[in-house]
Amino acid sequence: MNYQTLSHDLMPVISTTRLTKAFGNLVAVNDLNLRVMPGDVFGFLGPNGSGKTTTIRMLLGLIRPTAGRAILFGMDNAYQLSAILQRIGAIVETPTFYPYLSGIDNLRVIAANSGMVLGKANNRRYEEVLELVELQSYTKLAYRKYSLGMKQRLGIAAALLSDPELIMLDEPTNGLDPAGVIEIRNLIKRMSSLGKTIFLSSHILSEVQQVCNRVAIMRKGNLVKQGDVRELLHDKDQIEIRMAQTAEIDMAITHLRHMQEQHAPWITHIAVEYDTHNQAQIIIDAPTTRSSEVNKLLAQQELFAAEIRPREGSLEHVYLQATAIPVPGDNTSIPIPTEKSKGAAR
Amino acid sequence: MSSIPQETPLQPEIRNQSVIMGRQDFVSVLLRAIGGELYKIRRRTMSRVLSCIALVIIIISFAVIALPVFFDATQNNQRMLQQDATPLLFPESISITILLINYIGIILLIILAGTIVGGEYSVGSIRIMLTRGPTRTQYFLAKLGAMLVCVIISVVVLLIVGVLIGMLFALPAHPNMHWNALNGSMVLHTTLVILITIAGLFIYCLLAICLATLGKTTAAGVAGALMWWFLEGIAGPICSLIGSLNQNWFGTFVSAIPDYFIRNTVAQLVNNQQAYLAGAPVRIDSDLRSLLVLLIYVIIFAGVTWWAHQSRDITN
Repeated sequence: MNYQTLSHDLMPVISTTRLTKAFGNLVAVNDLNLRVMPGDVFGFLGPNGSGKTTTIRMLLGLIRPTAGRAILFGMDNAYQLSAILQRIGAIVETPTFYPYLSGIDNLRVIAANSGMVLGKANNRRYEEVLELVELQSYTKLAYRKYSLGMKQRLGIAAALLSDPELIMLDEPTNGLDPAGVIEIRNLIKRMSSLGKTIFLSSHILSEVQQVCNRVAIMRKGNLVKQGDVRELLHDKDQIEIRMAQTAEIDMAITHLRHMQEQHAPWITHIAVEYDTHNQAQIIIDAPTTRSSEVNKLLAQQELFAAEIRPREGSLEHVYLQATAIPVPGDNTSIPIPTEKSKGAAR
Repeated sequence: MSSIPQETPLQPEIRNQSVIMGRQDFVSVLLRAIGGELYKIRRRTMSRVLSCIALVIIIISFAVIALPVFFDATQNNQRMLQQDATPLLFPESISITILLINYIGIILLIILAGTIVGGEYSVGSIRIMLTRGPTRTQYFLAKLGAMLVCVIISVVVLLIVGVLIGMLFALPAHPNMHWNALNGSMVLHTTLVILITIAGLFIYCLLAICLATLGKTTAAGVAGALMWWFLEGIAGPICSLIGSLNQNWFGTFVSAIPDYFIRNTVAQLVNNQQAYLAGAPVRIDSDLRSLLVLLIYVIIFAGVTWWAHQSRDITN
């Protein structure tokens, strides 16, 4: 966040309240409460059909919500859409331009509809954005002759054309090769460093993890998670313990359970997981900073871990859990009931 | 969720210096949007092809009319030469050109109107157009404005070409042009005829825009409007026939229906202007009725299109 956005700290750029869209009996988006702050690089995640694009369309006024409201820049988009749209640059799904026009001519048409003056006054701006997306050599080429990657890049150029405050990108890396994906990532970082708020809908979780500071995860039209990426990744610290002998696992679990009840209340959960080689490992929910302490406690019982390490969180893990898709490894997870939980069960 | 701020919108940030913004009032935004639409039309190969077709048809038509003139010239038949050359001369050439425009112009302009609206849906560019700032009403008015400009340019250019080509082909009979017919009354009524022609063409284009919007395709607009125009031509004589066969209230009602067709209403207005020019008696209520009928068509077609724009979810 730069100096431009510091003054806006308390007012979200996007704020939705119980935003809902139903197509007949199908509820595409249900009671959505989103909050995007100035300067955020906001990742909007979810499987196909989870309502991401419908949400973006509602925010941009292409679709009218069945219920709820969307406030952008402090203005209700049901009443002040035109003023809102002049501050947004957006790509909705695959960018589509006029196939018979060249790249620069398409930008001219978009400029005319973006409140920019017609004629040659904005020629410098066209050149700037085309250079930014590395299309400066193809300005005169008809859009229909563009490759998919070039079309995506022109879409981004169009989104940046009027230097908007909020940039909404719906799957901007679709069809791009790895180099193109990296370019887009760098571009997003650059825009973010300029104080732009970026709303990024993507399936590429590693990309989102690298560039976004906040995310929201959708599932079947419902918001299942929203928050700071760092917090989401660390809200469930885990320690992986691999024992040298399989037989030691039961002993280790018994001991860890005992420790949990007597000396180590910071252990909140103990489970056994089997990896892809069907090797068992103990997973304990505990602060990763306690790894050495866990190791020491096991060693006191003559139980020596072959490997003990903090489990690093990944957005993929968070995403898969949130969208209830079986996580590889997690489906074999067997929670070990503690004495407390047994008591509670009784 | 915390309370949503509504009273104090976020102040817009200053844009990059290379971004030159224009005025943001309703009319300025609309005019720029019309400019954008015209730019798209100008850069389209299709519009150039349609223009060429119209020009070629005008030239060929006048060439066909001029064939007897060339024949008379080779036969040195001065009396027939003067007579055959009359349609090629001003002001008759204007009537012939308008007649041609009312056929070929309608077809070509309907194709253009259907394409500029339906194409937005089939390509998907409507998403971009409606997420850049102009309201849906401005977007709709921009299409109408661009189409009106196209109709005006087409009629004016084709009239000029028609008159010039006519004069050119009439050269063997009339090496010296005469402009005796050019007087105030003639200019006034010719101007009115041109305006009526423009209005008629524009209403058909509006119909194409309306149907293309409702159908979200070019085909719906083009085929629908052409079919309407074609059926008006067929339905008129059929209604008259039914009217003459039924000498009762039903026959009177059916035979009156064609009077409310776009084509016949426009023709009525044009005929009235020619009658004014010739000094023949014309009932003023005939003009008013025709103008009212055309106005109702405009209100219906524009209203339905506007309603479709306003109420529609863009899911393309």
